[in-house]
Amino acid sequence: MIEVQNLHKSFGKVVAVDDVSLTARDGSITGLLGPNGAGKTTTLRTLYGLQKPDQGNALIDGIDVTKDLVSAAKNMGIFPDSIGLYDRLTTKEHLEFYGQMHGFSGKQLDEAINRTQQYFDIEELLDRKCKGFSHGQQMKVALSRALIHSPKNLILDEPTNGLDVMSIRMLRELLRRLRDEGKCILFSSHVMQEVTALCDHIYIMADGKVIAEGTPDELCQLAGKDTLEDAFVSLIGSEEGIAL
Amino acid sequence: MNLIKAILKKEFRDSLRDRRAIMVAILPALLAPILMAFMFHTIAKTKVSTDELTIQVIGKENAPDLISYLEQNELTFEDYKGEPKKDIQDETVKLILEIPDNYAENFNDFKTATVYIHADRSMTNSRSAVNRLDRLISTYGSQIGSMRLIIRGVNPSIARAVAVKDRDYSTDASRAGQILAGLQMFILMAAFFGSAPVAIDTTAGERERKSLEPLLVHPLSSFQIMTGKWLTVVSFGLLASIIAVISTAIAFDFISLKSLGLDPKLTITMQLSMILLLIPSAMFAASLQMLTSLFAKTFKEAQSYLGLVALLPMAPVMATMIGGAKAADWMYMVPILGQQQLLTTVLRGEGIDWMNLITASGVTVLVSLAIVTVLTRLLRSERVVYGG
Repeated sequence: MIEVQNLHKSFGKVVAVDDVSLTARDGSITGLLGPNGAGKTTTLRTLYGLQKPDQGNALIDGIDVTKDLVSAAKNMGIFPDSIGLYDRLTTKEHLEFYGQMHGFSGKQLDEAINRTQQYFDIEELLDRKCKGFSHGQQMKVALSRALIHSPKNLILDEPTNGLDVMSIRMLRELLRRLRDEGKCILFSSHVMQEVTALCDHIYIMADGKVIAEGTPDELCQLAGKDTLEDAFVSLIGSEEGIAL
Repeated sequence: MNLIKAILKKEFRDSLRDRRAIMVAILPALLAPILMAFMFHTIAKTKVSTDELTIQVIGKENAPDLISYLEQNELTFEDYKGEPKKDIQDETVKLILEIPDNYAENFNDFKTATVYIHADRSMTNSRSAVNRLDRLISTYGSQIGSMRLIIRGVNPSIARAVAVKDRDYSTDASRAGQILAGLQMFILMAAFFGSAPVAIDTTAGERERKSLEPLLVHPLSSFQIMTGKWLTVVSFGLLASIIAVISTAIAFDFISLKSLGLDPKLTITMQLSMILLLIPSAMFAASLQMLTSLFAKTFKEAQSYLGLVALLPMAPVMATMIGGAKAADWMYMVPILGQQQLLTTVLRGEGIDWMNLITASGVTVLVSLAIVTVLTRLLRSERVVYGG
């Protein structure tokens, strides 16, 4: 379970996150939808401990990340804002390294790599150095990195950016499967279709605030519209920054 | 421990595959001592050549007496035919002594007999030879003059109202000292050159590639990450230092500097002592460079900062060369300066004072570890991860 409680974060005079609370439950996919600059990434960065909240808490399975980041990180799979692969290392070496970072070694490590490479069918990339990978290929390696230790909680920052249609379908199926296995999944997106197609629960963010939340049906009712698309536009108050 | 090992392995793998950076790191350590050795060798050789100077001469038969006097003073002569002006400007000949045909006539008539020295006095390498010839001929001239006065019953001192005597205190030892200082500088700098590319790559580089954020979300402490990175950087600095020591030893095996009163043959014991005392300086170089790069906003900025940091070992050496700073106990308490003092004693063949080694190494290691502590604290700060 992932919880954010009354989170505040400012950069100088700019208020990035203003009193945000959200909960992502186990066995469910929670979406964070909002235009660029709404505070989604800042909220997620607080969850994986790289940005200290001015106020409020971020909890992973009840562990406060500001107090015990290492324990919290054990149960987290992160796909951060930056892909950041090492040009001179192969895909396999990446998976090996990050597997080791989660304490795997020997046979356990081999099994983890073998299991993970099947998610996005990256076997042909395994022995290639990452320099010159297409954006989509890089994304697949980075997503595999987040999944190497079969984490209980998964946090994905804009995971479909630049993926081709086939890969997006693979990612969706994978996320649904993981949800059915009881994992807790929180992802952010500014692409409405992603959120609509996947999410059990949606938080809509704008200007650093959560302006609405609920299941897709609840959001439609709340806005008094028939389709989610219309509901979003009406809730955010503009179409700016949202991709349909 | 396993986590640190995994970081170390990844950093090594990544750095070792960056061939160009490795070249930049190792080449100075390999080549600088060879260049130094070659330079000293040349200095030593020019000095040797002044001892047995060969001079081109025109009209040798006109003054057999003068020539035999000069030959007694270790000059040798070769007959010369050609155009003095042209050959000297072309630098095919450094120095020509011309004795004109009327020399003997003037000499015998007690008139001033003139000889000509053809040379380019602006050329440093011929200046000492010209001065030497000049001085010898003047001495010969005044000796002859004195004898002529004595024959006439006059005291020769009357004709010499003032005499100058030169007392040159420049010694081989002082010259050797400067050479040693230069050597120390290169050996100390090797660690800085060796670790700089890796220091940048694991800090500013990691951020610029955006791989720092993904790394930091894994369940390991900043201390573990920093230790792994730091050990990698130290290893490269140490590797460069070892290469510099061995390369120096090999280079000086091939040349002789005996004429400079210096014989820097490095025995295995000396090489090992040097490596031992260089370990802390490699640690210090790594810490300082990583700290600097972590504060730099970009890879490029880090590179220019580290260019300045690499000048650090030059400061104490310059102080010794210019200010003639004398060795003092407090020097062992300053990182790099302490190592420089220790290197001096080893290179002079005086061996290592263990007390001084422990002081210098202890202080340097402590300062380095203190910087690592600061690095560990900074690593997860927002400023470092996302830029300020």
